[in-house]
Amino acid sequence: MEKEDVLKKILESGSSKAPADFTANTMLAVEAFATKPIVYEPLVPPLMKRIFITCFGTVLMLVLLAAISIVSPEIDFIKMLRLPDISPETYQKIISGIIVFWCVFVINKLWTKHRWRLFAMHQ
Amino acid sequence: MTENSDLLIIQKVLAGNRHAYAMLVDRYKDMAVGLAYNILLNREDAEETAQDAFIKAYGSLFSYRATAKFSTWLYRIIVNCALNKRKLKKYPTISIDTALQETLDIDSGDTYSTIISKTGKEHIREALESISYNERICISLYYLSELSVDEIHNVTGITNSNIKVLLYRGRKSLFASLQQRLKKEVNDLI
Repeated sequence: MEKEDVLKKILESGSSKAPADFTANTMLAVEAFATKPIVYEPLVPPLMKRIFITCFGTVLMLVLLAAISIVSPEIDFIKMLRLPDISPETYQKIISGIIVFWCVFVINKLWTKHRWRLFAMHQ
Repeated sequence: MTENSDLLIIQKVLAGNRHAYAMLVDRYKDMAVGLAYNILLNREDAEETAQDAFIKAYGSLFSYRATAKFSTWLYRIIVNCALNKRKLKKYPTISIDTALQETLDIDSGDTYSTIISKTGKEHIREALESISYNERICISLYYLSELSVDEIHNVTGITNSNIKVLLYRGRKSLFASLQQRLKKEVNDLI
């Protein structure tokens, strides 16, 4: 007998089989699972959620108040910044490049996600 | 034939006939327990894992697409459940040195009588224990479930070349280990 067959035979003989009442027990568990009402527990307790919202609101108000009350200092270096003097064609090329990059990126993502399904369909 | 009838049963279950699922459980229970056992090497855990896998499969049956065989889809759930169980339970690991020492002990005459008194199944379990989890999963899926390398890739997500390496290495060390433990039985079979 081939080594492969020997290994298969030995593994089969050493493998564990399901007990006689396995199906009945599993079906009881399936019944319990199917009849159990679905209750979604919130990830954050309601009290914590209220605290988070209050904190967020307070911070937001403080930032708004600060933005109104504090006079912004003059930032000279922004005025000194100069954009490169390039032609509209170059800008067009840059924008086209960005668009092409994102298109290829999205197609690649979709392909990777559905590759297995497509592969299985061709089998 | 089985694939078609699997699909029919699934359609029945999805149509609301919950009891039809028992036919699927009955059909794949031995395979499920066997596969889980070969990964976990513990009978109770294997049965529990197989049951969990069947419940999970029932819960996700609506997401099953007929592009893959139901058995392949179920194998994937079983392997994931078994690996999760293993993680949760934190199975004791054995160092290579200890394993080697144990193998050397087996060779020596002192423990011969102890080895002889153990059952064949225990020897097979010990031999399986001596190889890595990934090797064990690949070997079980290849020899017991009779899946191809491509199908094992679909179940485990391991690359085809890696599966071939794992099968080669696992087969080699498992056969050597089995030959040491079950010399007579293996020689009789050859």
